[in-house]
Amino acid sequence: MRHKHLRTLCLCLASVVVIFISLAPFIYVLGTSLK
Amino acid sequence: MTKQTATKTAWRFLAPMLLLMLVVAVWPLSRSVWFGFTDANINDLAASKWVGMENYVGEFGLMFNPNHSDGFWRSDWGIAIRNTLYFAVVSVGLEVLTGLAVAMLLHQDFPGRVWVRTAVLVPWAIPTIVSAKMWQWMLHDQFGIINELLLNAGVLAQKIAWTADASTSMWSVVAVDVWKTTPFMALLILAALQTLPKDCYEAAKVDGVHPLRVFFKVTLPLIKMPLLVAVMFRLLDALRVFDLIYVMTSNNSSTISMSGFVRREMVDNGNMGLGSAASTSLFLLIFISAFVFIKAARLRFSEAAK
Repeated sequence: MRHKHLRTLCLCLASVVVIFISLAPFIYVLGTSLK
Repeated sequence: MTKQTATKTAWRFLAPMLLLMLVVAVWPLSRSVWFGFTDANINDLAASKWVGMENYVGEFGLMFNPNHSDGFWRSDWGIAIRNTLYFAVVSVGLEVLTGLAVAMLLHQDFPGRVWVRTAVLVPWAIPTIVSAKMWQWMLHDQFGIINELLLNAGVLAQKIAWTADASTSMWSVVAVDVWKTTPFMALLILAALQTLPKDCYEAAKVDGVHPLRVFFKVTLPLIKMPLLVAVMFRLLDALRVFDLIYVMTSNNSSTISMSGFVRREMVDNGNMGLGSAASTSLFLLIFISAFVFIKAARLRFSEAAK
């Protein structure tokens, strides 16, 4: 059970990294354009 | 219906499409090849004269040009070929690795998987010109956030002109291309992963095989063919790269691609003849690359089948 939770946590962390790399440039540019 | 009638009917149905192909593909391509053998100038195409192989092997031609005292690979055309091949090999190689990693992640079952799939596709879905401009701004030497972050983190001692410096410009372009095209690779690999039979994995799990071993011995061999097809698509795409490099680094000689060279000769210098010869050479390079790749992939496939 603990192993399963650890696996889900790792997958979620990896997902956050992937989402960040994919979307961060857009969010930054959007933020800059709104200033 | 006899076979002859069926053939005639088939030709009748095919005729409009063949005619369209003739007009939009064969005619411009033939015209470009033709211009490659003339001294055509963009200002007066009608005045062009036949010069034979002059644009390819002549005094001011692409290859064997005696004016290139430092050798062919130091000439503008040689540099463009080197840059294109380097870009194609490095970016496609990195995209395979990152695409494989992202596809393996998306193939797992975890909460919020749909959100990750959607987010990952965004860089690929937007036009290249938009992402190129966006990254150009982020990599700006004075106002870019990349320099600011790296300076604050103590990684850099001074600001770097990422897209202007000869030592970093190609890597900047490759990095942006990898960021943009990884979703495409991931999507193709994910489609292949979803067709794999589950029993192989269940057998491996029962036998207690290490996941890394399962990946290299089961997953990778099973997705080899779709992976090779994806690599071929990307390789052909990368060999004709233009927009990303042109927007980010303009005519910088450290990154100029073969397509960039063609544009420069045709538009900036007005040399339709030399530009057309270069575009014909690019077409041949892409054609040969596709042919060699398909042959090599089939060879490995037949060896694996034995």
